Order: sequence, then C-alpha cells, then structure tokens
Amino acid sequence: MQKKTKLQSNGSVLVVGGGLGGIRAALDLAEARKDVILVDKAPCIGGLMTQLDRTFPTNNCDLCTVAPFTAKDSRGGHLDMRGLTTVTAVKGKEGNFTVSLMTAPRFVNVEKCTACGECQRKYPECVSFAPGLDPRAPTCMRYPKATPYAYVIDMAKCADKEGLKQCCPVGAIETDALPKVEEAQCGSIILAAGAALFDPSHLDYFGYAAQPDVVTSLEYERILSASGPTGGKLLRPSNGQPPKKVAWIQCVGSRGLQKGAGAYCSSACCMFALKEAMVTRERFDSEIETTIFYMDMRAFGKDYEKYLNRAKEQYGVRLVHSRPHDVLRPVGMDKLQILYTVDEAPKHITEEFDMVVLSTGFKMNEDVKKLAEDLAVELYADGFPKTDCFNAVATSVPGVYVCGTLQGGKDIPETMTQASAASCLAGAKVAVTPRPKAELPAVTPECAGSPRVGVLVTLCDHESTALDTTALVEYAKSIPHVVCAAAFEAACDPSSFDAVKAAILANGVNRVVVAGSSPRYELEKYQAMLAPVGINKYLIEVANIREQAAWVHAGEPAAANAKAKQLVAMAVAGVMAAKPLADHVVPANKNALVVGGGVTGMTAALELAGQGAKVCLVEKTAELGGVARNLVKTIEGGDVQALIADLVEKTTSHPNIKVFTATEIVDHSGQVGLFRTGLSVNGAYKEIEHGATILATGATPNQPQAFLLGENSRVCTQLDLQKVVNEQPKEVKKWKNVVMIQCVGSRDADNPNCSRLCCQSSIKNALAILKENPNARIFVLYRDLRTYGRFEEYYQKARELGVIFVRYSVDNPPKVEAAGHYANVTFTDVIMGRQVVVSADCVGLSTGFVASRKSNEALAKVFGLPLTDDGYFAEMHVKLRPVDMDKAGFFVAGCAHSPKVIAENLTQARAAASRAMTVLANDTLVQEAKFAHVDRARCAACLVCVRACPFDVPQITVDDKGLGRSYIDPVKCHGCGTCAAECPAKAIQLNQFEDVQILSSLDQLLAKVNA
Amino acid sequence: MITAERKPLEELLGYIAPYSRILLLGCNECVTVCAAGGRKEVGLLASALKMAARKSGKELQIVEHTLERQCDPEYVEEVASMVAQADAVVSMACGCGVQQMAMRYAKPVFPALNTKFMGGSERQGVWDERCAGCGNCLLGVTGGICPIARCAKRLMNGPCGGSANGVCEITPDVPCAWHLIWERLEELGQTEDYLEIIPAKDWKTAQGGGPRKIIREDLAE
Repeated sequence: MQKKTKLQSNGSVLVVGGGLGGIRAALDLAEARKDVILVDKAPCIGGLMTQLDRTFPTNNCDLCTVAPFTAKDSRGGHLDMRGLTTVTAVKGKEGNFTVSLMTAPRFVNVEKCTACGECQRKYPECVSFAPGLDPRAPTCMRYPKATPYAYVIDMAKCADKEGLKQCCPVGAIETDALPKVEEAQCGSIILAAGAALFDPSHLDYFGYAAQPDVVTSLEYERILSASGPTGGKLLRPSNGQPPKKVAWIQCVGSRGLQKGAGAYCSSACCMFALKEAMVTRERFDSEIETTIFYMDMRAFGKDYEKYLNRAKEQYGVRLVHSRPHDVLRPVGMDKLQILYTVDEAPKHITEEFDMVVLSTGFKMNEDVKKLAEDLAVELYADGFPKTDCFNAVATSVPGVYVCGTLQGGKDIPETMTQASAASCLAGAKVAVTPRPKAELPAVTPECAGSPRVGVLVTLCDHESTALDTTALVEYAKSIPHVVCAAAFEAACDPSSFDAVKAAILANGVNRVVVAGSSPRYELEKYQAMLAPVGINKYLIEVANIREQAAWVHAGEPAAANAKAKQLVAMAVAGVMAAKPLADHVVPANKNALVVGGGVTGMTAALELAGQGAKVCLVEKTAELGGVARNLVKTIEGGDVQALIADLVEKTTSHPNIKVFTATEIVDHSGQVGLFRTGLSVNGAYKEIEHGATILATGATPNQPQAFLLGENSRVCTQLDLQKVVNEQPKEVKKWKNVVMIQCVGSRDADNPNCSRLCCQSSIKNALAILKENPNARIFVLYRDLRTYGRFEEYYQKARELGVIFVRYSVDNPPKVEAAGHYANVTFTDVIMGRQVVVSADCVGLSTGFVASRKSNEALAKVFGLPLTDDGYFAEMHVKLRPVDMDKAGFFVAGCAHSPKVIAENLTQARAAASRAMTVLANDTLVQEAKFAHVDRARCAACLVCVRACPFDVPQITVDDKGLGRSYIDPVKCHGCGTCAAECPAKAIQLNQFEDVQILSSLDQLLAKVNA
Repeated sequence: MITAERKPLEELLGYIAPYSRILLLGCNECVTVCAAGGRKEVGLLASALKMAARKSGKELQIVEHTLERQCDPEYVEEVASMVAQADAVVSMACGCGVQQMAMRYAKPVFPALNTKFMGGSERQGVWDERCAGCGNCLLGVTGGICPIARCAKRLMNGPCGGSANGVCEITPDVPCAWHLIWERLEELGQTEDYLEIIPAKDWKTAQGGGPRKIIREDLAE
C-alpha cells in the first residue's frame, strides 16, 4: 500500500479524462470542497457513455441522469473544466506536481456561444456529428446537451473561414485562435482517460472490414441511439432495411483469442451484449431473433444473474455456447452466414443472420499509455497500469491514481466506484479550499407583498421551432398580475440574463414563472440565478413548454402554441398561490459512523480519519477483521493476514477513530448531517452523533446442504480447502485427485445471484495445490467460468498447468457419493459425451456468499434503508450511484452491497469514504422548507398521518390546551406528501405543494369549463 | 366512534335535483376519523356533484364547510348565514348531525352518509362493529368481548350450533363471538365465568323501551 502523506498541500487535483469516471472523481472532490482541474482532449465532457444507447441493468438512458450534474451552474467554484486540453508534461512529485496543459483552439468563444446552431445551418456540411458511424463534421456538438454547451470547429476542414466567422450572430467564432499553454500546481493526479476499443478490422474471418452489416458493439449502440446516425431506427447499414435476425459474437479482442487481443477478460461485454439484445427486442421488434454466441456468460455483478435470466426467459434471447469461426457473405447473397459448432453435436452448422455484432473488448489507449509512461507509471505488457493488489486505484507512482476502464475493462458501476475511490486518495493530498457559499433566499417584505409576476421565456429557437416565443411573451403580459414578460436565451447567454434581472428589479417583480424545460432539470438552476435579485426560491414556478408543448406537438404549431399558453397561465396561477418560505441553516456534524469492522469498514474508517473526520467504528463481534480472517492469500499473492494486522494496528491507534467491539446498533434518528445513533456497547447504552454513515457489514460464507458438505470429511468449502493447503502441505502432497464444483448454493432458486468471487478462488486454490503437488489431477466442474478482468490470466495459467475444466448444466449436476476413503464424484463430460467417475481425495465446493439476511434486516429497520430481494443493502442507483444509498448521508461498501474480492471491497470502502467526505466537508446544512405542517385547529387526531407516514414522523402530541393533535417534526419530515394526501380533515399541507397552489393551477386550466 | 359510509352519488343527485344552491357540510369528529365526512370527503363530494350536474347541463353552486361537531347546537349555529344563502343542506355528518341541522333550520337537510355502527379501528381503513348500545353492559363477564354486537344471534350463553372452527355460519369472515369469549376467558384463567348463566336480557334499556335520553341532573339546567 502507498504511504500516506499527512500534510495536505494547497493546490488542485488534476483529473485527466472527462468520461463518467473523471466526472465522478471531479464532482466528488468539488463537493468535498477541494479544487479540481478536469481536462479532456475532446471538446466536451461525457466520454464513451454519451455514445451508448441504454445501459444495463436498468435499460434506461442515463444521459439525462448525468447531464444535470455536469451542467454549468451545478459545480460550485471548485471545478475548473477544460475541453480540448491535453497534459504535455508533468514535473515534481506527490503533493507538488507541476503540470503543463495545452488547450487546442476551439475556434468558438465558449462564453459567447449560445449554441444557437446558426453555424450548423449556414454550413450544411457541418450539420451534425454522430460519433461512431458518421465522419466528423467541422463544427460539432457531440450530443444534444453537451457541456460546455457550445460548438467546436475543426478549422483544418473549413474552406470558407470568413463566411463561417460572419454567420455567427453573437460573434463567437474566432478563426484565428491559438493554442493556450498553461501550468498548474497539483497535489495529486487521477488518470481517468478511459480505454480504447479493440479494432477488429484485421480479423478477416469476421468480415468486419468488408461487410457493412458486421458492426462493433459501439456502432450497434449508435444505431439504436436516438441521437445516432439513423435517428434511433434499427436499420441494416448495407441496405437500410430493418434486420430480422441479429447475432452477437463475444470475446472479440478479449481473453487472448485473436491477434492483438488482450489476455484479460474485458468484463463488460457479456452484459452489454445481453442489453443490446434485450433492447432490440423490447424497443424495436419483438419478432427480431437475437442470438449471442458466447464462451462463458459472465454476469457476475450485483443482480446481473437475474438480468441474464430475464434476457433468456422473459425476452427470449437465445444463447449459444460456441465460438463461431467464420462470418461470410457468399457472393450474390444478401444475408451473412455464421459458421459454428456446438458442444452437443460434432457437426458444422451454418446459420444466416442479417446483422452480426462483434462484442469488442477494451484495450489500452495509446495516448494514455504515453502519458502514463511520462509519469513513470509501471505498466503491464498490454499497457494497462499496474496497481497495488489491495489498492486497485493506486499506481506505482505515489500521488498518481487511476480509475475506470483505463485501469482495466469494466462496467459503469465499477468505474464510478473506482472514480470515487481515486478521488478519496487524491483528495487526501490537497487541502479544502474555502469558497463563499451562495446566499440563501430570504423571505423579504417584498416577496410577501401583493403578487407581481414576471414571466421569463427561455427557449432557444432551435429547441422550439414549433413555438412562437414572441407571441407567448405578448400573451403572458396579458395575464392579470403579470407585470413583465421577456424572452431570454436560456442560461448560456449571460448578457441576456442581465437584461432580465434588470427588468425584474425595475418592475418590482416578486414571483417568477420560467417557461422552459423540465422543472426537475431546471428549477434549482433558476432558483440560484434569481436569488441575487431577491426572488424567494419558493416563489418560482417552471412551466415545461419544451417537452410538454414544443416536443410532443412538434408537427402542430397551433396546438403547441395554444398549450404553451395554457401551461404558462397555469404556472402563473400556481405561483400566485405560492407562499414565500425560508430554508434553515444549521451547523452540521462532521463525524462519521462506520458499521462493520472487517477490512472494508477499517479501510473506510482510516480514509475518513486521515482526512480529519472523527470516526466511530462499530463491530458486532469482539474482534476486528471480519470474514477476511479466514483468508490466507489473494490470487495475486497478497498476504491477507498481514493486511488485517496492519489495518487493525492503524485503526486501533488512530487518534480520530474510536472502535467499539461487541457493539450493536439499537436505535437511530435524524437526517444527513445530524444523525443520532444509539449503541449497545457490551450491553450498555451509548448515544453518538454523526453526519454520515457507512455500512460495511459484510456477508456470510454460504454453507448449503449439498454434495455431502458437513457429512463427508473429504468434502469441504473453498475457504476450508485454502486452509488445508496452507496448513497441511504434507496432506496435499498425497492427493491424487481433487474435484472442485462451482456455483454450489449460488445461481439457484434459493440464491439466484452469482457470488462473483468463487471462480477465481477455486483457480487460486487449484494453483496452490499444484504448487505443493504438481502431480495432482484437478477437475473444476463449472457452469460459466467467470474469471473477469485479469483473473482470466490465472484461468489460462491453470489450464496450461493441466487443470481440467468441465462444464456441467444445471439440469445435470454432478453427484458426490461417499466411497470408503474417497468421495466419488460422477459427472457428464459433454465433449466425450459420457459419464466420468473420479475418486477424489478432496472435493472443494465453491459455496460463495449469502447476505447476512437477519442482521441486515434488523439494521435496515433501525436505519430505514432498503434491501434487495436477496437481503443485501440496496444502493441508490445501481449504475451511477453504486455506494450511495437512498437515504441521504448513508453509504454502503464491501460485501454488504454484494459479494466481491478483497481488493474490490477496499476500493468500495474508499469510494464510500469519498462520498461521505462530500457530506462531512460541509460546516452547515441547509434544511429545505419542503416539509409538511399541521393546522392543529383542523386536526381530528385520527392517526391517519401516523399510520401513513413511511418514515414514522408524525406523532399525536398534547398541546398547551391539553388537546392531542398531530405534530410533524420539520427536521425529520422527508417532504414526500403522503400524509397531506391522506389527511381526512385536510389539516396537513405540504409546503411548496399546497392544495391551493395545485387547485389554482387547475382552476386556471379548466377556467373555460367552469365559466 | 360512530362509523359511516357515503351514499351512492345517484341517490344524492336525486335529493338535490330541485335545488341549485347547496351547503355541503362536513363534521370534524367521528366521520372525519372514519374517512366518510371530513374536509377531504367534502371536497371530493363537492367536485363529484358539480361534475355530475354540469354533465346534465345544470348549474350547481356548492358551498363547502366543515363543522367541528354537527351534533351540538352551538356549532350548528355557526352556519346560520351559510344556510340562509342555500336552498338545501347536504350533511356529511352521522344521523345525529343531520337531525341537529334539521331541527335548527327550516331548510331541507339531506344525509350524504349511511350511518353504520359504533365501532373501532382494526387498522388503517378498516372498522368493525363493537357496541350495540344496549344500555346494560355485559363486557365485564364476557371477557371484554360483546356477544350482542358481535354475535349474529345476540346469544347470551355460549355459541349456537353454527359455530365451526371459530367462525360464524353467516360468513367465514365473521369470527364467532362466543369462541372469542371462550379463548379470552381461558387466557385470563376465568373460564368459570362461562359457567354462569346469564339470564334473559331486558331489552328495555336498549331500544325496546323506546327512544332513550340521558339527563345529568347535576349538569342540566
């Protein structure tokens, strides 16, 4: 592990790469109030993710989920984002790097560009840019909501520079711009520049270069994508017709299969192929036949096995266990042919398909490799950086961290986790930079005065071709109580907004309606923009005339304009009935509670303590170390016992950490920044206060009743087997036959998910046995061998050393019988087509993990947290928020989230610490005024609110007149509105969503009917 | 608490057909708690009546109001000016409230609810009958379970032959009151109470003696 520097230097963290990982790392740091410079060589941030259509396992488009976080006004003053920028040189060392940055000219002044699209229209050849299949146009925006929200020009491709310059209405095009070179002081560096994708052009047997209907996965994503070259229609590139049969070929460029392929498994391709197949059937045509040719279906992530089952059972995706050897298109034929064989029958099969998708894996990006080499980061032969076996984000150079696919192929949740972990370590090297916080909206006498409404229409023309903004402004002026109305160019033109501010002040406006896009997306932004001109944030209403009028009625301008007017009138009526409210600022508690004293909990506690937080570490048992105490070594050879000893020593001696062993959590209350938790310490009650909580309670090694486990001395779990190999080498030397059975007690009806770590642990044990006893014959009976990432290389090594891997199907599992001194294992060898009996000296069962259901349920109840179906803690968003939990201020790490290997647990621990620091960095806490309040005169004390509240907040309390009435604590109220909706006496109202506001809007909408 | 359920909309529309100005009056006591006639139900019924009237081309003015309690004359007095402006009153109180209004005002008063029974809340949204108001409480010898309100036959001395597996023969949803009483007495160790013969009940204290009245001499003037 890396040595920690205690001193935090001033300066920034440099994040190289603005894909999802880089954005997450940079946002974590900015939210923890540390300065960050985020650079990307592309003109805007977003990386590979912006090119994906939908993502597994939610099958949602995540762009809208990410876009608000990258939007211009949401980052505070800590994030300096630079597109078109590369790192040219790095000097110095950890804590004090000097970085040279070169920013290529964009030829567009970002401050001036309003993204109006005029340059695109005037220069038709510059119209659009869809990465993946279209050639790059001189002026481009990569995706509809690109950040920065401005165009970029490739000047080398522009013939008429003067004309291009003149066409811009705001003079933002600067044809003679020059590259800018700068130096920055950085305490640490995060490399998050992603990976390249394997290029299958040279593999003529797949026909990629010659056949337009053979595409890579990313190209297929672009074809599916609404912002792609076909505008979201699934069409064959060769003839523009919809395909009827689509095939995927897995492991292209991975697992050392083809020329130039990496030896590793790229980890994400099985899942994205399943997703593409499901989306194909779900969104386009359920008649399209989808077939995936695979080697092992590696659905090893949290709940991914269920996703695989859904693909097979619900969506009818066909899975064929085969490596096709040729993709052909015979002369004169329209369709492609795939030539393959299957296990069951030794014959040659030729099947026709309309399209073939090559699931291409990741490989090291050459530019990034060069930068890593400049930084003297040690690399593997394949170019990916070497990282510590217990710290997957730390490179060989102190102060330089990696995350995401740059570290090795992986999916989005793992990228997000590594990004947060990298930001945790990198952030520890730089100090918090104080920045003034935005003023809170005050309730002034002006805003409480008689309503004077201002209406701001903010749609850019290119977003709203169907709408007549001028007419809408005129209409708004005619609505009673509207004192001014104006159009302005969204948030991207500061000068037009200045005019709006002036109009608001000049007309004494105290309530504002913004006619723009989704309030979910925009309201917070306008609240921040209008606060300086004295508009209370609760007196702003957003009318969504973009989605609800311009877009849904794109072809019918009359209907769109009429509806836009109605929406504005409704919003005016609603804002007239709104009440000004004040948020409260309270001091935040900056301590953390970490539940669980295993390696994950200790690591999280140490990271937090290292950044100055006081940590309370609570462990149920009498000893720290958790399940890892049973482990000897990792597959890479890392000494687990030494790790535990080191962690225990550091944890127990750290001045900022208080360890409570033999301690249970008994009660809990409060909200993020102000939690109170009751502990039972050796039976004695103790209450602690904390601002954030990390759950690292681990999981339980599974002990299923199967294959004579616990009945026959020859049968043991992989955990036991590992101990025997370590402690009784003499016994191991006597072994002739060893059989390992995978997926025992996982991937079945009782425990439907994959335990993820068992495939690598059986290979680890097989290699250890062979080291002691090279003559032992080892059989591994498996369903899918899930040695993802670099574990694949150990799998290959095991095969080279003679370990025999035999697939079994779930319908025909192996049998274990006692046979005197041995255990006889009977299984069917598919290739030989016959039964085999092995008299084993040892049968190792890969039993994996199950959730500690009982204790998790108890904790979930005390803390009010959700669990997954199989009893693990549920994260907030499986894709983008893998360690955050639904309840603000709660984070989950390690096996409590889902089973995983130690290094991954530690990465998650660091990620959770990083996310917790974003909470603990705040000195104060804003309590929004969005809570329910009771009119005690109306309350009938009927208990409906007490029963209906999902958070147990309302209580019947006795007031000073001795009357029992409902009381809702504003600090505890989540503002969900359930009680307000249920109250039969209408005594409860939810601030910001009072009945009178909603009814006023509706009355306005239905005014004609009423009249 | 007194429980009630709203009448079908058609019946109410029938009552108010001749009138165009309606005072819709809720009650903040029992009928609020049993979700039949509180402010929320008043709002919902007003909207429903207006929509129905408009569909048939009729103009209906409805004033919504909810009194703290409709069975007390002082509260009922509060709405005098509203009643003056109305052609008819639709009361969302129990039968007591409807009558209190009818006694006070010389305008038609229609019930919006069917008053059901004196009951308790089993859980959110579920109420069951617990008391028949017989005027001579037996709960002290029946383990706290009423054989009058909860036995379909109001039997006084053990179950009838229709009790099987703890449920009443009228429907499997109704537990046999005497089965419950036995279980409860067993739990309390008071099974000897069961052997006491309860003599034939004098129903005069119930409605058998005609309408009842309570006069507290110390309170009444």
